[in-house]
Amino acid sequence: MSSLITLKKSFSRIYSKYAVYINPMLKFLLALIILTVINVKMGYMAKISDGAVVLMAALFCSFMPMVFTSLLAGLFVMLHFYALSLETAIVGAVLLLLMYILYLRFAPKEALVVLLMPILFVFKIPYLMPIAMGLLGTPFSIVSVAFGVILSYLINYVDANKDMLAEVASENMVTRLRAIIDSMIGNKSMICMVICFSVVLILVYVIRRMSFDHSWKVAIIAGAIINIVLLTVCLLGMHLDYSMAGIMFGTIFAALLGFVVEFFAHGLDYRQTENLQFEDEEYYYYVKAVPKFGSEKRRRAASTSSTSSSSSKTVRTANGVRRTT
Amino acid sequence: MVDETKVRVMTRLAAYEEGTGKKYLPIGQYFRTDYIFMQLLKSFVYGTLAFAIVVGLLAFINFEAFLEGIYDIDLVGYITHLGKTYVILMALYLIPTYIWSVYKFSKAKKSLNSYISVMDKLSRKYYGEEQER
Repeated sequence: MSSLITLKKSFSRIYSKYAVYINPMLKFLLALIILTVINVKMGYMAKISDGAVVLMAALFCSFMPMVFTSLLAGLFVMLHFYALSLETAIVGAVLLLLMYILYLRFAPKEALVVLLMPILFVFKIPYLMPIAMGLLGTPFSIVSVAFGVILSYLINYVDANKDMLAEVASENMVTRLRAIIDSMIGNKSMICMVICFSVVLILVYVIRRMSFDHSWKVAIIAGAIINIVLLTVCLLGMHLDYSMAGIMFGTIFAALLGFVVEFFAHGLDYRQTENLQFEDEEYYYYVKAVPKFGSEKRRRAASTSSTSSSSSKTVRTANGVRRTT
Repeated sequence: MVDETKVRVMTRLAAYEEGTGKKYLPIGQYFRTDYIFMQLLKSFVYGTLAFAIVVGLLAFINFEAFLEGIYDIDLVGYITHLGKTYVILMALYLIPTYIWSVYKFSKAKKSLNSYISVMDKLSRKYYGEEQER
């Protein structure tokens, strides 16, 4: 554990020292991965599937705010849809437009969640997103996760039916539009996944907000178990097209990644927990203070307390607050 | 001579304005009710636009069927149903918007209060210097 903490500290030291260079580099890598995966998965428009275009676009993203990366990724998706058929582009445009005007104006940063979701589907670990957003986001993140799932299913549907959608003469425009919309509205797998992910996200959020020890870790494990249970119930009860092994291994891997998120975003040392009690004229305060791993203040406080000979338990401060430790 | 305390305070203020303040300073220009009303108005416009887009798409898909049965359709009932759906969906959109704007405004106010107190500290320092002169 101590080597991990040292690693984390050296990461944060390097990051704070070279943030000016690291931030654009991370943005560049993220944009490169997102755009490459979109091109590999879809790749209907040859012009934007070229490596040089992706490189230039990613380079451009590295100097722009993160919202720009999500907008550009959305544009790439739309262009691929358009290259395949106008109807696909219309449905995709309506979906993205609704998403932007209804939800993302409140939380523009969550556009990235929507666009990372299809990427996680490609890597077979979409289960990571509800766990990660339960840990880092708010209950409203359900909307972005749900839109992400819908977008992923639209991309998969288009990929599976690209020959039918690309045939110009086979059907008229209205029929194809209806086929795409019906496939989305009547897709039980998609609806089950949206409901399951919403439950997992809320559960993880509620548990990680609790004040008991290791609440974040418990939240991840509970989220993973509920995810497996709910998807298995859907799989067996409704005969959906999920793979049991995929759910099991995907969720376990997602939970492990959740622990990585927890280590970097939270990382508390519960062995050093301090339970404090305060009182003033109106209230009695029960405070639980848990230091972060490797905290300078904590080490300083520990060394001070070990050298101090004071054994006083109750302190009355100048403003009348009585403090007991 | 450089006043270190003033430099420290001004650095804190500048860091806030460049970081968290970017999000909260524009909100601080409004009264609570004005901010909430503006957000509700925006949501009303965006919600109506979204509803129009969805209805437009569904109308386009079902246009042929609509024309074929135009004489059999209860047009008034159809429009009433559409109106009811619109009102329900707008309520479902405006209520979370209200909750979100109240939450965001109180969060911004809390954040801005500490910024204002630092700003007061700085202006008191300037005022004190002027008095000394």
